[in-house]
Amino acid sequence: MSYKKYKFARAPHLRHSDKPSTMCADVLVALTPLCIFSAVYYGLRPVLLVLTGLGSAVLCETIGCLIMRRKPTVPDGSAAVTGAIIGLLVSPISPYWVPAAGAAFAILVVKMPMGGSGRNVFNPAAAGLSAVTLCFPGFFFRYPDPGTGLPLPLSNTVNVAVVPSPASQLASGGQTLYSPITLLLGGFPGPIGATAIIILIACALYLLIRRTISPHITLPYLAVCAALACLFPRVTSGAAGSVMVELCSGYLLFCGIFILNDPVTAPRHWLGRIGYGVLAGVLVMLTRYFGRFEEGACFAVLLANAFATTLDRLGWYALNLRSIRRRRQS
Amino acid sequence: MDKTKDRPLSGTVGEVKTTFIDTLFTKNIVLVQAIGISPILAAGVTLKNGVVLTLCTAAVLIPASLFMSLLGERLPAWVRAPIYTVGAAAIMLAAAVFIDRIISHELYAALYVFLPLTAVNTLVSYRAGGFSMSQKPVVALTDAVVSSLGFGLVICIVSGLREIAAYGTLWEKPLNFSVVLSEAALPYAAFLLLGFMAAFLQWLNSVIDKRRGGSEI
Repeated sequence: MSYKKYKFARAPHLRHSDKPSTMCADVLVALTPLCIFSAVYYGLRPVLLVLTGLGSAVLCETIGCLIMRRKPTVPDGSAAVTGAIIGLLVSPISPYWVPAAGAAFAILVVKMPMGGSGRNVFNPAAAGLSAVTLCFPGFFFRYPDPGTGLPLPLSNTVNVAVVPSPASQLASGGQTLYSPITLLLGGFPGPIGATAIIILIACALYLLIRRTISPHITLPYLAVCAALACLFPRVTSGAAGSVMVELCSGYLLFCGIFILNDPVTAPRHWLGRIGYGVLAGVLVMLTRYFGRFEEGACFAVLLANAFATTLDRLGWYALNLRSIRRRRQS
Repeated sequence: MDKTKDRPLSGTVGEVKTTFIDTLFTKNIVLVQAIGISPILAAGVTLKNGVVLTLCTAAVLIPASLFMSLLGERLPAWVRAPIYTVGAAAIMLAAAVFIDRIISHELYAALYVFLPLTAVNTLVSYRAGGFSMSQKPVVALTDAVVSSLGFGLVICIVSGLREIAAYGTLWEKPLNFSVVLSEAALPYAAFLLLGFMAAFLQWLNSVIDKRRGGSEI
């Protein structure tokens, strides 16, 4: 009895023939314009925050490898990507220790105890972000107004006026104040790297062409989020307006491009990947509608990660149902 | 058929010692066998809760184990579980009234959901209904005492650390910390702590195994 060939997405280190770290380098390249965009609005502070997260992650990975007496896995770049993602999802006015603590938690608690690079069950960036969101909710979801045109001071704590972000306006049931054009161009309060929607779309296209991220995950995820936003709108401006605001606010889009596509924690099989995207989309919207915080994408990703292996297996069964049945009958 | 006649009432010192070390460390009831985690997650928030839950578990487990070891095999299978569960529930009822009336009402108010659950804890049914049945009374008694001790050790460490982190106190005495991490009282903090403790125990066991293997060669 012959089963259909079970096609796995190729392992990340074999995708490009040149170097094992190409994939992480691709992601870091895609994250750079987001950093620059934020620097235009807020000055050098967001860049320093991202670099703090990145440095903390690399340092913790080195310490972890030393403790475990392993060859350092820093050169593969996965720790740098984790740290940079955490840095890009904090508020521009958060103290420097917030991304540092998140990255340290991600590497020392979630990644290294599971066996380090390539063996972690849960996405370290999402876990680090969840930990700091839960432990220090006072520093999260407080965003400055990007429209002032003044650079933020570089000191550890910043006293500037805080304005409600589109996500918090949605969560509190209020009417959102931002037009679709403002949302696309990113001139609204939000995390450092998650507001520049047009740049995010460009990054996604770059990574799709480089085959670093998989359309099987990102497209179903965004489709489910859009469908749920369309069916259960939280704004009065109709279904289209609801889809626009829900997809652009918070870090829903960023999460779908950079965090969900982590090759270590996502399923390997295309059907499993579609299921994973759908599941993550449903969970993200549920945490938004019923969660304690205005944005819960990181919690949703952690929940979806737990089902990655099961979804892979289910995908295989779904494709081989006929041959399995025939085998049982004979 | 009746095996209890062949068994002497007391076990050898070796048997007791092996049971002691096995149940407390190498096969720790919580960290290795993953039994009785729910009270640690939900109620192990302050050291006082931890100690009270340990005492309650011991109060239920020791009589149940002893009873099952002495009489378990003489009873028909269908009647064993109801008997020790009813017995455990009766003990817990007495303990609950004792805590409420004599110790403090606040403590009872904090634990009242978890006290009845101790009576039907998997810890009791697994150790008393499973292990003690086929053991000599002394071995079963040692196992019950040490199981409670192993459970108590873990819940006291976890609840003590969580109390320090979440409220900045230990046994309700303030420790004058400036940083308080109130989220440590959430269940996920206990999951993380248990995970690290389990990993540490596995590492300790592997080191001990290597040492033993090395000395024998």
